Amino acid sequence: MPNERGIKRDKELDVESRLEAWGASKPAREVSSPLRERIERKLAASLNPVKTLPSARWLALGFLAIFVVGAAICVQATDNYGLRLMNAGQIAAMTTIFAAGAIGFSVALAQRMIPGARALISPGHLLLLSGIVLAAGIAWAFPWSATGAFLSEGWPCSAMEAEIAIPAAVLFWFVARRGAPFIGPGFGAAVGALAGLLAMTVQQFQCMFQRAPHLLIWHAGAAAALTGLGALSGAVARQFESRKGGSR
Amino acid sequence: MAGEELRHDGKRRNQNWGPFEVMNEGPIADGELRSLMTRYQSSDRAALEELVRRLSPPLLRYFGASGIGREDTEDLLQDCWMRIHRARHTYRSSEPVLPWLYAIARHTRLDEYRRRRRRQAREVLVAAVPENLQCAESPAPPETLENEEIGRLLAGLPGSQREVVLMLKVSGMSLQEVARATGSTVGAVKQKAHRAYQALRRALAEGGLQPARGFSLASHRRDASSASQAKACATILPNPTARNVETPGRDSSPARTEVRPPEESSTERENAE
Repeated sequence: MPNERGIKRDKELDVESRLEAWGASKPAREVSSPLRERIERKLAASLNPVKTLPSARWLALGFLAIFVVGAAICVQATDNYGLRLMNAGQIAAMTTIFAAGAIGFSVALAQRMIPGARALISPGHLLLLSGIVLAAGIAWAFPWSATGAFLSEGWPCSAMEAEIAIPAAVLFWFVARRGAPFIGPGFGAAVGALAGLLAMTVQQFQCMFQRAPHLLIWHAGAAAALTGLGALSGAVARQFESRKGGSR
Repeated sequence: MAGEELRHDGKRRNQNWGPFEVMNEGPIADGELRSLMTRYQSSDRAALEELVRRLSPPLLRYFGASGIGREDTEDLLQDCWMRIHRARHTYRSSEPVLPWLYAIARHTRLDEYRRRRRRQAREVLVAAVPENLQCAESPAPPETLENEEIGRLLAGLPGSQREVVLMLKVSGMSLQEVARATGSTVGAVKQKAHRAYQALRRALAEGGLQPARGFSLASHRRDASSASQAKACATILPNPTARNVETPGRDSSPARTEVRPPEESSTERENAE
């Protein structure tokens, strides 16, 4: 009796071998001399020595340093009221989550700067994972009581988060732009997420409403919105660059 | 195993050798490419010329596998080299050249797809057929029936799956290299390749996949250029009194015969990032 797995594997190999035959039917074509000379002339016109980017590890450390210094300065500048309201467990849980998020997004942004860099985790999965961990951490560590003034005491927190995040995002964007020959939604989302997380860290330590619904909607929700805004900005910038290229 | 990596088909390939094959010269060592890239970064003109000479054929092959015409492929190649030039500072000599190069080539191809889509969106139907009716593309070299069928089936695959298959089977890259070039993980590449093979197997068993499901860069042009020029024109112009021509726009190229693509499928949108 024929082995079912064997038959399946044979069929798979058949498709692969047909694809390989198709690929082989497209031989590498020699580039015509005029075209090659035209390319060489164009490139040689602006041929000068360049300083190579640091490794992805160093770039990630750089983003992390900006994150830590930025967060420390902003937390120092506020009254730290939230820090006094949280217990040790809450401080430990939130600090761990923010630190892990900052490392993850710093690495993601550094990888976006170098074409063909090794990705440990896809950006989509990283966003999903960090969102789940953040929501679960808040839901587990903070009480679920709500007050009647949910809206009026909530939106100023989101507004302040945006006030911190937008300049931070601009800074991250310009630092990362030195690499990243092509920006796009992924690049924008990584910038937005890192800046949003920085702003959320500052808010966490200064906010006086340490309750799960408030933190989930007005803090984490604002960070998610900033990530989306970053992705949108990346998409717009990409569209602009593609148009610019098209008018060449 | 040091110096070797697993290919998609389970064979082991020496990492020191890239898949590039220059006509009549055999494969190029990755170490050699790295050293050329380093010299290029320090503004060595000879290294630049050597790189252009060696890397252009495989890049041309990669762009050509999308099914676009020779002229457009050469435009893409030029555009790609300009991007490589602008991004040369992002290459690190400790990393392999291939994923870096193909990541740039991939973005070049995607941007060209978007530009083409925008251009086609500006096309309007006109009543009269210009007298000097000529198809924009010169006929492609003849392909075997089987290869033609495979090409047509590939055009029907979702964009991200087609890209993975092109890199694996046309450019001869390994799973790791494709993962790096597409900014994803090896697992994701394996999954896409597996789904593509499944879809192709299903389509082959059923006797064909409808190419309209996913609009490739020039899946229609491939159809058009496979037959004679007259036949191709007849294929694109079922109604001789109605033709798609391009309206002048900011980034419009010389007027050409184009086919309005079907609605952009969600799978092509996947390619956006």
